[in-house]
Amino acid sequence: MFSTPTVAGEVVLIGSCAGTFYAFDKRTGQARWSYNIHQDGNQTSFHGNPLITEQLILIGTDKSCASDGIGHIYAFNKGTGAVRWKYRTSGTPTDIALLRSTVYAASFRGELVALDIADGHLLWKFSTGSLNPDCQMPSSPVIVGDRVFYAGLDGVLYSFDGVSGKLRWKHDLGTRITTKLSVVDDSLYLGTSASRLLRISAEDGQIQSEFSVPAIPEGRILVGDSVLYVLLEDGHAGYFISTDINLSHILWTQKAEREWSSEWPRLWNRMLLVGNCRGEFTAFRSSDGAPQWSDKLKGCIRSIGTDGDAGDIFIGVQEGTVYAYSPPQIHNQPQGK
Amino acid sequence: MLSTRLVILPFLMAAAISVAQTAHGASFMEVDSSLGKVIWQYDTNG
Repeated sequence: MFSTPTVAGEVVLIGSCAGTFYAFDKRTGQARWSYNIHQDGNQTSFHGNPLITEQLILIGTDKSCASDGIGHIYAFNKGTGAVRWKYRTSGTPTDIALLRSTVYAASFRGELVALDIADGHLLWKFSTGSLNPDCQMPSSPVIVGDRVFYAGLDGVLYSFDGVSGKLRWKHDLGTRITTKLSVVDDSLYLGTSASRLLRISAEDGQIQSEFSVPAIPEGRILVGDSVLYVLLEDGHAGYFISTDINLSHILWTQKAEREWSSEWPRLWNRMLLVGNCRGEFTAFRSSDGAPQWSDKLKGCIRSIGTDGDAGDIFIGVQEGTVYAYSPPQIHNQPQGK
Repeated sequence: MLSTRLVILPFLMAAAISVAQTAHGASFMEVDSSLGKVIWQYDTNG
């Protein structure tokens, strides 16, 4: 369960590594509908997060990096789960980005596609031409204004016109990009294998600021209220840091004995939720990183979804179980001053 | 229903988390009787 459980009204949506997409009743866990992708060819898994529009749920599938594998981008009817359209790819493990009537997604093989959301037909396509021998997870495209941005597996950051697909600029960072892209206003944020965080202008691709961190940034950088939250790893320990959005200094650091396995911290009720492969998940106070509570489930925690501050938490583990979890009620929460 | 194990600080600090740098330090809290619990779970077999 790498796909984040995503609440949409009364259902929680999630795609499994075993190849079924589910719409669960968020209160009971009963599957209202599901769709098994094995009927559509040699594909096995969902890895990205669903994009939800007024009428559709869009999500990609893949067979990891298998040379004989395929994938699709699916558009499901939001209410019934019926397939509105599907577009075959070489495997799409990324999230789907939306700009007006166009959706964008990337593949394990360094391809970025732009599709018409109405019927899924191809509008334009770009390929970095780079191989992916280590089966790195590609970064999801993101949108700023009328442009789409893509962090290639070749270490190059690309900017395209969202409509025409024309390349506006590219910036070879000379190192592997290890996080997904995050956006604050007109700036892009990413981490690299050189244990650095970068802030890059969406306008021209120039580095606005960069910053060394204690280990390699991984997953997705969470943007908070003028702060960033980032998970790091060095092969042994897991780090969780918060920085200002100008990347001038670290606000707080938490170091754990083992790496975090959830893709990114989830903000819930002014706390940040992260999990590891022992099934332990912990809530840290967002203001200063102080641990608040922890609990344990069975499985390696890969994804955490929320239903607003007052609702339950939904947790996916690698072994395939989805949990709906009611967090402990904390009263008289200290300010830590 | 899966049995869960709730750990409240400061036990957590000793067991699993070491604080490398926290500006304000760890804090204690009051937790009421409604501890965290699994509401439902669904096994997708992978």
